[in-house]
Amino acid sequence: MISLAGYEKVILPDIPNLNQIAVYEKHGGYEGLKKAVSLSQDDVINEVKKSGLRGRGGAGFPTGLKWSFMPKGDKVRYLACNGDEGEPGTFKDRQIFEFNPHLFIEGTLIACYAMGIKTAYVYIRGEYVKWINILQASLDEAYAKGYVGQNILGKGFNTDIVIHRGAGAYICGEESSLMNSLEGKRPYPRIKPPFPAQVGLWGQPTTINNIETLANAAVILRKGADWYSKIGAEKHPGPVLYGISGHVNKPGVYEGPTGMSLKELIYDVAGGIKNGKKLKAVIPGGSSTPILTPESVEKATMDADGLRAVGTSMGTAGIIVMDEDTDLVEALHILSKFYHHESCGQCTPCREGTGWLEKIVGKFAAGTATQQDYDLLLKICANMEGRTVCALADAAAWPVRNTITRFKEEFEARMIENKNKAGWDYSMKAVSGV
Amino acid sequence: MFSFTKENLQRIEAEKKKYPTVESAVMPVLWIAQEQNGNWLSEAAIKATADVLDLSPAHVIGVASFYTMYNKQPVGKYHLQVCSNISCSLLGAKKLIHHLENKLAITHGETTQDGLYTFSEVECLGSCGTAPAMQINDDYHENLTIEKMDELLKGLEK
Amino acid sequence: MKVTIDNIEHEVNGKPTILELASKVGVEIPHFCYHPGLSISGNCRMCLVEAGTPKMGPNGVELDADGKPVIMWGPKPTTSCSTPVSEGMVVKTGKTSKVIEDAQKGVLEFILINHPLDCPICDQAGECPLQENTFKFGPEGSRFEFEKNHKPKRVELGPNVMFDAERCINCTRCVRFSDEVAKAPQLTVIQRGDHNYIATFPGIELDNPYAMNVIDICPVGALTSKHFRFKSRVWEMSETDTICTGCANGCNVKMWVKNNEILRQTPRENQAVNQWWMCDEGRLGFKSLNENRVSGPRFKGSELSWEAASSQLADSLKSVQASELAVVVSPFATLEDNYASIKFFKKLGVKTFVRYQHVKGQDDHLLIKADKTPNQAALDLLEGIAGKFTTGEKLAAAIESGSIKGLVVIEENPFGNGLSDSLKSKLSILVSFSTNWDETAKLADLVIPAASVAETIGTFINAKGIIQKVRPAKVLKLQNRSLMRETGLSRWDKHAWKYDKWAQPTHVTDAKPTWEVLESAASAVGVEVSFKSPEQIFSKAASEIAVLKDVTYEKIGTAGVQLTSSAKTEAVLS
Repeated sequence: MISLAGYEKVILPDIPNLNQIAVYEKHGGYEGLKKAVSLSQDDVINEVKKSGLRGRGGAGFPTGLKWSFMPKGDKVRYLACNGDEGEPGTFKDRQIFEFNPHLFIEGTLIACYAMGIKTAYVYIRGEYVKWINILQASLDEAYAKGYVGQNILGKGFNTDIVIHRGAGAYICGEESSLMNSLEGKRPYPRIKPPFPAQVGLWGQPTTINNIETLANAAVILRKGADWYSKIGAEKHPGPVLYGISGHVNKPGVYEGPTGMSLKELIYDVAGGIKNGKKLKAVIPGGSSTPILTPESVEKATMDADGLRAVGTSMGTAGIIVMDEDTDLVEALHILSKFYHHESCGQCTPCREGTGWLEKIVGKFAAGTATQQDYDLLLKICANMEGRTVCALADAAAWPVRNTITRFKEEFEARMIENKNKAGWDYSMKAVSGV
Repeated sequence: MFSFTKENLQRIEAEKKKYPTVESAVMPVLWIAQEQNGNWLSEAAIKATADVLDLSPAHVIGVASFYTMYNKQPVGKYHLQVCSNISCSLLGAKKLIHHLENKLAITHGETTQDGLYTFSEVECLGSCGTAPAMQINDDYHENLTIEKMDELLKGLEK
Repeated sequence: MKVTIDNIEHEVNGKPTILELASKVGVEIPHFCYHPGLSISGNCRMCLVEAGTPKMGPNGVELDADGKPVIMWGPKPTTSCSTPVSEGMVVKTGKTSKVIEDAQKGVLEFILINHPLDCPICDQAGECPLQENTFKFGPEGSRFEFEKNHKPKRVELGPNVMFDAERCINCTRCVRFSDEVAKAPQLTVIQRGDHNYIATFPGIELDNPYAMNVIDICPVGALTSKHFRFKSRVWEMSETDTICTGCANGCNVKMWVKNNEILRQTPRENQAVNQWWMCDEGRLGFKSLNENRVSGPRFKGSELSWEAASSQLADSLKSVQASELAVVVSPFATLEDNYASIKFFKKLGVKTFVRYQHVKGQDDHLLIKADKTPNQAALDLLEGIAGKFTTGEKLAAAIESGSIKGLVVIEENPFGNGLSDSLKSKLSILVSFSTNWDETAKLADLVIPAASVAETIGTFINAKGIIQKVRPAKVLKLQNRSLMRETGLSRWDKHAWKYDKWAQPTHVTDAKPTWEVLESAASAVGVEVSFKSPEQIFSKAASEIAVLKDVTYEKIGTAGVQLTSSAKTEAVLS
């Protein structure tokens, strides 16, 4: 049983003023970078591979493997650090920017060293002005100290880090959309293949990593892959930032090992359900991940396998907790509206499907839906899933599919035929047009 | 008409240097244009952005219109951007929004007659752990209640 | 390389995409955003297929119990427009895959939920990929029961193009065309999601020289021509494969005719000449083929019958010495008309043949040529027969000095191109074979109406040395049988209705091909020529001009024939 007991925090340790470079250095800061530059590039990539680190941005792809996809040779190549953090329920990267920015900078430098990258772009969502400023200040310190820029640590290795501010678009968190946004184009996701490691930013080989992933890379080099791989779930190891929100007594970002039980996180770490209410549902990894019933929550552990076993996924580990009074129809309506609002409009199924889903879920919210609408929602989801350039259509369809099937009775109760059965006002029928 | 100040032209030159192509500087330059233009992008400001980067104005308006944070019409002195996404709504964001709308007598996208406030309902701000939340211009205000919001507005009026 | 589509194996050369291969082997994969002349966008999702590749084991391709390769199918359908084929690939289209059949239905249902179903008033109806694909692949109805999105309608994007944003399906063909082909990035998609639509920057018009091509490539009725809107349903028109004669490029076009009036001209694919495109100026050039036409012969302002015109022509020609007669040939006219004229007047004893140049500006990056005439290259070939052509300046001097007393103009306009009106008084006779009432026609003593390129058959040689044929899209009042064989007909023309070409005289011009008129006057002036049809004239010319030796009308067809590059030097006299 993996638990917080005895866990030593490494991503967000309780050290005051860690954002200041002197404090950071005192606590082992930039040791990982020094270690890295003493190794060959391949050895650094192997160390990350060996650690078992999987991306923390949502898809959970093995980081070392991703790094190894970058072609060898002299081609100009880029790193894009994904700090767009737009997935509802996700608010972890801003904690790294605020409380341990140098850990991220260090991880970025290690990645650049390992892949022979001379420029890294940090894409940060436009709303995060405060955190952009904090990171910029830390970056200036790191430049002044010679960690970033020319001839880093006297090893003849040069890397610049550039912060790029987004401007309000969830889709820019999708890696190829992010690249188009950085290039100053309309941020439509790109068709894959070619993959970014072949044709990425400005046509050059590119790796895109999440902010938390890069912070983990710094920890791996500092503490060693062996140490790292023993933390948390065996096949999905390491520290992870759990962002717990919704109806809990102590919402917030908590660092712990992967593989913790969802129950411990909700009831112990986050202080349990507010006002002593009962649990109704949990979204475990940001709004796109399938919603869980209380029975599934009982069994779930926060790692790829543990969550797959209950029919969901780790996503960004943004845990959204909903108590017994939550109107799940309204909750789903909010999410459907979100995905409709954020669809870039490039692919037909997503552009048209997200709006249609929102409208039909809206009928449930208004109490004018019918069994036909219920069936239609599932059919629209089927026509969206796996039919588009990027995964936004899937991200929009999954919450609908899973919420209406896993909490079917809540949606049935909102159908007009059942309202009538219950003796409710039947005058709404005219509105439904049925 | 809109033309970049001398100082901003220097900032634009610095932004252009950060990227291998001039086109890539379009977002930072739009930010500069919006800042200089009183927190919104007029057609003239977008045109000036295109001109300074030697891009087609059509391309630049295509980019600018995609993003929600580039304001396509004038906004008030205080742009109140209240999150209504899932975590904030679970903790009462909709009530806050109704309160704000009633208090200021404006709805999403509107500005008060005195030009002081613009209200926008926005998607997730990344404040789910400190919900409900809103941004007033660039500043975050979190763990909001109706009382706290009233106090904030009172503070702004001064 | 072997690739299987819908259970049929194809031998493949090169590395085409699945969609390219399918269209080559005749398998229909519906699509909207894909266009062979533009970059791949992959946004419409209509061309999805299932694709799999042979599973590779340690000993090469793994085989199943039947000895067939085990196929690894992709996890989800893939866009055939963006996926190159590979060795042993197996592809299933909607014909053999239920998943794809459903995906196609799904995409069409999605496209149509916010698409106004205003086909009955939409110009595109009848030639609309959305309409056709819906008919072939779409669902039988819609399950959408909400109000559709509203977007701007009747937007004037530029001087020639109208836009209906509600009909737009965001395929971005027009944006890609403007950026990539026209090199005039005047269009963009604005907004996002289902608020997306295309636009220009406020106050900037879509006015590049190729702007109207976006109308042709728009797969719906979102972009329409201001010159054609609401003029006709497409099925009411005949379409004739011919060429544009607006400059030396000779773009391949279709002329669309109703009631013997050309309503529009659209480009026709010819990779050697114009790919899929044409310029707006050429496209709108058809207006002079409808309007301001010379109809019926005239002598000194009075109308004549064709018989009277023929004898008047003979009388006029006999009234001056052949040595004092000059003939202006035409780079606007067919090779056949020029050849016939040169032969006719040579036999009459004429020595002075005049040729004008019409050069304006410079060639552009795509199609537009500085030489605004379609057939200078044919005159280059005919120079061997006519003798060195005289310039316009020398003609003016000769008239001034009195050495030239009679002038015959074949489908040219010297008085609109530098020849002073005052010189008319020095001419005892001015005969003009004219299509339109230009300066020369207005001054001429005898005006013979000439069939235009929209009413005749004949060949043109473009700047690249490709010989092509014009075909009649309209009929003449006294239709020549040899022209009728190639006249483009609509369904209605064949079955007769009130707008067919022969039904009413409203838009019918009383003109004849120049060669026909010359032949009718031949015996009266004592010249022995035999001009029976454009094809017969062409074969005579081909027998005299080396570079045309093996060229026939049949070979020229509708795609043209590239003449050898030494065309100009190899011209021989008979």
